[in-house]
Amino acid sequence: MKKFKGLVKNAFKLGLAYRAHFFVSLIGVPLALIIYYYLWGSIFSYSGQSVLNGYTFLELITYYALSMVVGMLTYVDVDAWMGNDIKSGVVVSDFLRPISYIWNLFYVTCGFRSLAFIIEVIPTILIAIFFIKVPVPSILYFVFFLISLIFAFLLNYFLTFCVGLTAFWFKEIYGLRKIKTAIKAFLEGGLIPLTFFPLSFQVVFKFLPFQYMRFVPINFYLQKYTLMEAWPLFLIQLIWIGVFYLIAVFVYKKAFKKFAGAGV
Amino acid sequence: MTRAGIFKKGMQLTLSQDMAYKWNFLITVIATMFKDFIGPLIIILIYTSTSGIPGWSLYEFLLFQGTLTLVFGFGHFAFVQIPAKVISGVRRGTFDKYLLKPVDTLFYLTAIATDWDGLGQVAVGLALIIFAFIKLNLAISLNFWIYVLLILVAFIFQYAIMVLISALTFLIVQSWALLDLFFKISDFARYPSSVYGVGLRFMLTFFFPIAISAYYPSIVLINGFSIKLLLEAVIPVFVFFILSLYVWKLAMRKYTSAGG
Amino acid sequence: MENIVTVKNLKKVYKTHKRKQGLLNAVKSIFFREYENKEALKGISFEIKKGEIIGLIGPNGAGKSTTIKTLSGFLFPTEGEVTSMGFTPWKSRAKYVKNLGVVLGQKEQLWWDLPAVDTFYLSKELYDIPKKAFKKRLNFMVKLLDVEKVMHTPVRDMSLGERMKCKLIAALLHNPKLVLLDEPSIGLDVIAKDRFRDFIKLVNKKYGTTFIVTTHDMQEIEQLCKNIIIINHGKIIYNGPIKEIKKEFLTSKFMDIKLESKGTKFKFKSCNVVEQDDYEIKIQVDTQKTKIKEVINYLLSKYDVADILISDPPIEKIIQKIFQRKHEEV
Repeated sequence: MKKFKGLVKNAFKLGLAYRAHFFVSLIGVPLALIIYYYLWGSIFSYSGQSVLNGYTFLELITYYALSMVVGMLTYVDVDAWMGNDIKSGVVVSDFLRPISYIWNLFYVTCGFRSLAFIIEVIPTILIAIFFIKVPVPSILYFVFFLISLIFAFLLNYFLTFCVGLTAFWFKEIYGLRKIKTAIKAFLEGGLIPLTFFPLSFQVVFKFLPFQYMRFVPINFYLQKYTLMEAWPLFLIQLIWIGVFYLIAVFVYKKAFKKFAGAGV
Repeated sequence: MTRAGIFKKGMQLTLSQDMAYKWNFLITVIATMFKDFIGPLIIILIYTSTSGIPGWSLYEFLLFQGTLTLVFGFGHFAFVQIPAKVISGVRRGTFDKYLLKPVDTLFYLTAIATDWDGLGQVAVGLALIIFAFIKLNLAISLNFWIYVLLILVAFIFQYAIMVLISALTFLIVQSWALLDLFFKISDFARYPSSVYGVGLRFMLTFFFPIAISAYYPSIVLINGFSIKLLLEAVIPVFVFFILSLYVWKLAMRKYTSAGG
Repeated sequence: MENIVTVKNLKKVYKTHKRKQGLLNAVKSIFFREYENKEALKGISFEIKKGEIIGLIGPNGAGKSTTIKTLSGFLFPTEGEVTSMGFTPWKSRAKYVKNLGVVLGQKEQLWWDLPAVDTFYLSKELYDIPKKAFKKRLNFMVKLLDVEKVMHTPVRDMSLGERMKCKLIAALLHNPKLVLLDEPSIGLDVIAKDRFRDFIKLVNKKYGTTFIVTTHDMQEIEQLCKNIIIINHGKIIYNGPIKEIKKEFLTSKFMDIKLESKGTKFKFKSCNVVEQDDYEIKIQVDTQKTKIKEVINYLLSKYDVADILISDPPIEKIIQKIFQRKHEEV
């Protein structure tokens, strides 16, 4: 009963916290789209081309709208929670159940993302549709988009969880988290489509996990991949998920052994 | 003069505090610098595969971005801790301790607001400016000094915004969202006003002197200035500055009547 | 002795917004907010003399913190006059606070990640304390409270007691004439509390500093203060010496009797046996109905008494009674 009350209280507080978030997104999204609209509008017209690095103007604006949506749906904050919990020692009680710490936080994250879907994603989609004629993919590609989106979410979760684990060894991980966010933002294609990078870079990116967290799902929606290319991409996403999952479990067990006895 | 003494002590203490976790401090500075290089990198990417942004050559745009980074970096270094401390203090019920000091509350908050993380950003901004300056073959002319002056005006604007957000914490609930919003709106400043339509430009210049941050100084350095331009750039900022101090006074009055 | 603080008819009404439960109301509260008035202080008046150590007691929500905040200068009242050290606190806050020291027991006042000594030196700048006087006073207090070494460690690494001592020093460095202590010894162990009390008394004697102490710890009040102000529901219920309270509300005494040899079960009129075993009897005597002398005579005649200890009931009980009595009156 106590736990239930606690959860309700938290949901309540969340509601209040999200109220502010809600209004900020409501203003932030059209703001961002306006910026990109004007910026790229002038770039496209100045260059005189209708397609730049594989994207038309409409597709590019849609790209940014999608980038926001994918970002909202795959956003994971566990490294911040872990940083705080581990620093303050609160995490020790979670130690009693090793594996479920990973999944426990996962379910909570899912909960937040579901809430975000209603509060942030739907308004974003509505605003985007209001601004531009958003291209709609075929059902097949939309399904591909959804699948790659779920994989992207899982991938981001385990990667972020691994970053959070460093808190067992470093007192403060705020700086480390910032670096991870910066690298990720740059390399996952959230700020500019990866096709704008020199070819040599694009090849390297294919071997890094980042593009599979945002760039790939967006491109599925925009139908930029052929059917032949689709399956290998899913496979690579799954491989990266596996890699980070294994690292997470392995490192977590190590942390548990090292600290559960001594106390954090 | 004791005011200077208090400021000096405040900077000393904030430095010690920021360095309390040495590694984290270093990494945070590096992370922030990293983030600041991303903007210019993206611009370079755009300029290598397209004709770029009309009216701005690559190095002119980098100058613009460098100026922006410098201004926001200084805002981070000198002012962003003001709303941060106010919001945290109000939320945790510890704000009163600032009111127990024998000096003006805003002055005290400003004196202890130094965030040494921000130096990284300032460094990146300066590096970009110097780089672009050299590539553009600019000289230390009158334009340059007006440029410096306008940057100082931009610093004042940063201060005014931070004070305003802090003040609004007392007048509105959850103003950390405002801080968020501020940075979102600041995104507008990331690109030159000439990119936006006339209406938006007017709004940016007169109702929200964001443009002062990077656009006006850069334009002056590259193209020269006119008295009209200067007035457009400077007057809205000073009006805004005075407004922010006034709202702060209001906020303090409300807080002392409600007792926090 | 002249007054350092004079409060006349202090009234404070707060506007708070009603927080209703439930999801529907949470949504409503995004757009509409209902307000209600709360009378925290209903017109209190009191005076504090220079050099006093006075206790301010009352249950939570009684109006204590409102009073303290008003005296601190960052809360202004709905009605009434307050004169403290010649100032109206909220009108010239910065100037007024120069002579005020405040210790907020449960809130951090020192810079968390830094050694306490750094906060001390910041105070030196803030209050413009000349170097010599500062060092002299700092050394004096640091030696007395035994924090010479500890003050160089980060506050976050200090124990609660050490932190409290440093907070106290920080509040006294500028030699304030008036010091407000809000729950200062919460969480301290007995020894620390003792040292703390001795320190306050010493400073009070040596420098004539006036102290107002807010606390729930009755023992502390008894040991530190001669006079107390009891506040409840925004009104002053009692303002005067502790002695008088004890006299008026003291209707029983506790007796702890130690025996040489086993005794029979104790029974005497108007006596309540709290505890009894083979060699000890603890009783509560209703002094309105029985004289202590009679009980002693009875004990001596019936038992093989080794020792008798007579004490007053704990002051909490007395205060509780006062609250109850006033509640009934209301």
